[in-house]
Amino acid sequence: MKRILVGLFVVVLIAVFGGRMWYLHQQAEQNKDAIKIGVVVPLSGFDENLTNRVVTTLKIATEELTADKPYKIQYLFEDGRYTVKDSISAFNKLKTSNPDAYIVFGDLPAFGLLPLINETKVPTIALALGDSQLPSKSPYMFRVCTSTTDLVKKIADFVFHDMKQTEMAIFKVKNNYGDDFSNEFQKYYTALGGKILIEESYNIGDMDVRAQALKILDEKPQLIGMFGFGPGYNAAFNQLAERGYKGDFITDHTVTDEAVWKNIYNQAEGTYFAIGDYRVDQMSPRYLERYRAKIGSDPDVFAVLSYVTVDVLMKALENKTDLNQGFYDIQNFKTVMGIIGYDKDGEPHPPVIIKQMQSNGAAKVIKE
Amino acid sequence: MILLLQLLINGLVQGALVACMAVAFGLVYRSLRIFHIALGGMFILVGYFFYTFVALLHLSTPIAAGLTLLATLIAGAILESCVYYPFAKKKSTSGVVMLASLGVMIIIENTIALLFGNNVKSISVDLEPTYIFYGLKVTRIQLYEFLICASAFVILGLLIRKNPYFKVAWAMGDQPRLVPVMGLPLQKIRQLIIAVSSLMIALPAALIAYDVGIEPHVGMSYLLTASVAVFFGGIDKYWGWGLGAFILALCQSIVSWKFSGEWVSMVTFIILIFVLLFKPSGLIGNSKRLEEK
Repeated sequence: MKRILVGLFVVVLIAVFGGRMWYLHQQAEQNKDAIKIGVVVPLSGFDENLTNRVVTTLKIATEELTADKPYKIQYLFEDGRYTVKDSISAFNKLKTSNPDAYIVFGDLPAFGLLPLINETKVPTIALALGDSQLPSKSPYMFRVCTSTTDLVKKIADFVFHDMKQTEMAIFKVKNNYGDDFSNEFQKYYTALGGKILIEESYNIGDMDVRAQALKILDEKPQLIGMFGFGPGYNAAFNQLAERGYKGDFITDHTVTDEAVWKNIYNQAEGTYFAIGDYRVDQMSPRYLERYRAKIGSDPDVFAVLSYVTVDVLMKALENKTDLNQGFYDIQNFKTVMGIIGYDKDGEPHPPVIIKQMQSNGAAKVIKE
Repeated sequence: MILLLQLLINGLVQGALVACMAVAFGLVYRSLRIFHIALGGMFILVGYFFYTFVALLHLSTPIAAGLTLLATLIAGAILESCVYYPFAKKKSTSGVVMLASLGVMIIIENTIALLFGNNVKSISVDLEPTYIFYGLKVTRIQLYEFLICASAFVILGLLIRKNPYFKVAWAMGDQPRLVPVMGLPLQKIRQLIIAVSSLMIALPAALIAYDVGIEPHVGMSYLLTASVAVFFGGIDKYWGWGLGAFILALCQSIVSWKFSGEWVSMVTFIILIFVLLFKPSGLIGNSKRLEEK
C-alpha cells in the first residue's frame, strides 16, 4: 500500500512538473516573436493599490489597443520595491531576457537605473517621473508625465498673478522629489518677485510633523506649498489645520489620490494644484469598462499615465528599425493627456492645467 | 518665545508617551534580560487592534480601547509562552533570544502589511478640539496622551516600590536564579512582567494611532526611542527611564526649534552614542565599583 502511494505521489509530481514545463514552453513559443518590455515597478513594499492600477492598465490597455496590430507585446514584470537596490536587481534580471524596451516607475528607481540604461542603450519609458532633469541625462530615457519644471512654472505663475500672493511658506518631503519640486518652484516664483517666508521639511515616514507646522505658522503665511507624499504629507495638512491654519494651499497631484484624500479629512478642500490635462473620457471604452470592473473606480492619474505609456510605445514601434529613434519621432501626437512631442531631452511637454480640490474629493479645472 | 514654549509643551506630551514606552521596554530588558525588539511589533499590533475595533467594527472608542488592551495582553502572553519562555527553559543566550525577538517583530510587521496594506490607516476622522492656555495650543488628544501616560508611569513606579509582586519582578533582574530557589513562581512572574510591558506599550501606541494614524513600519523607530530613553536614564533606575524620556523629547523639541523637525531622529542616535561611550550606566545610574570595572 505504502509503495503504491509513493508511486502515485511520484507520478503526480512528474505530471505536475511536466505539465508546467509544457505550459512554459507553449508560452515561450507563443511569445517568440512578441516585443518584450521589461517593467520595473514596485510590486511590494509600496502602495499596492497604486501598483495594481499601473499593472492593470498596462495589461488591459495593451490588449485593447494592440488588438488589430500585427505585433504582440509581452510584459516582463519585476519587483523594484521602490528602492534603488531592488530596482537594479530587477533590471539586471530583466536584462537576461533582452527586452526591446523598459518601463520604470517613479523617481527613485529611475535615478538608480540611469547608469544601467545608458550602458544597455535600450529605450526606457520613465512612467510617473517628476524630476526636472533626469531624462536629459540619458538619450534613452523618455518621460511619460508632466515634468516638475512644467508643473512649477504653471503653478508659480498662477500663485503670483492669479492668486496675487507674493509671500508664502513651503512644506515638503525630505527626498529627491520634495527637494526638486521645492527648488524648481522657488526658482520660478522668486524670479517673478515672490518671497519664500520659510521652508520646512519632514521625512517620508513621519506621522507627527507638529514641530515643523508650528514653525511655519509662526511666520503667519497666507499660502503654503505642500510638495510631497507619504504619511508626512497627510499629517502636514491635518496638523496645520489642527493648529488653526485657515490660509490657502497649493500642492501637486498627490492630493487627488483617494487614499490620501481619506486621510486628510477635507483639510485640503480648496487646494490648488498643477496637473497634466488628463482626459479619461477619451480613453478606449472597452478599456474603461474592463478597468472599472477590475479596480472598481475610474482611472486615476497613474492609470492615465500607464495608458499613455502604451500609446507612446505603440507609436514608437511604428519606426521598425530603431525603437529609440521611434520615440524621438513622436511629434504632435494626440494622447489622453493632450498633444505631446518629444524634444531632444526626452521631454514630452504635455499641456498643464490648474485644478482645485472640491469637498467631495473631485477636482475642478480653474485655469487651462 | 511662544514658539519655543509651544514646542516644549509638545515635547512634554512626547516625553510622557516615550516614558511609557521606555517602561514597556525597560521592564523586560531589566527583569528578563531580553532586548525586547518584538515590542516594536507589539506597538504596531496595538495600533491595528484599535483601528480594527474603531474603524472597521465601528465600536465606541472606550469599548474599542478596552478590547485593544485585552487583545494586547493576549498577544503578550502568546509571545511569552511561545517564544521567550521556551528559550529561557533551554537557557539560550541573550543573543539568540534577541534574534528571535527580531524575528517576531518582522513577522508581525509583514503580516500586518499583508492584511492591511502599507498605507497609513486613520482611526479618528475629525479634527481634534484644541484648547488654548495663555496663547499655547494643546489638542484634546495631546492632553489625554500626557495625562494617561504620565499617570500610568507614576502609578507603576509606586507599585514597583510598594507591591511585593512587583518588587519581586524588579529584583528578578538582579538575581534571576534566586527566584525559583526561593520557591517563587518564576513563570507567573515572567508573565506578569510581559503583561505589564504589554499594557505600557498599549497605552501610548493606541493614543498615537488615534492621534496620527498607524502604518506597519513605524514600530522600529518607537522601539529605538524607548530603548534610548532607558539607557539614557539608567538601566536600573525606573525613574531614570522617565527622566531620560522627557530629556530626549525636550532635546528633540529644541532641535526642531533651532534646526528642523526632520533632524529629530538624529538627536536620538547622538544621545545613544554619547551615553554608550561616556555614561554607560545612564544619567542617574549607579557607578560601578572599581573592581567591577
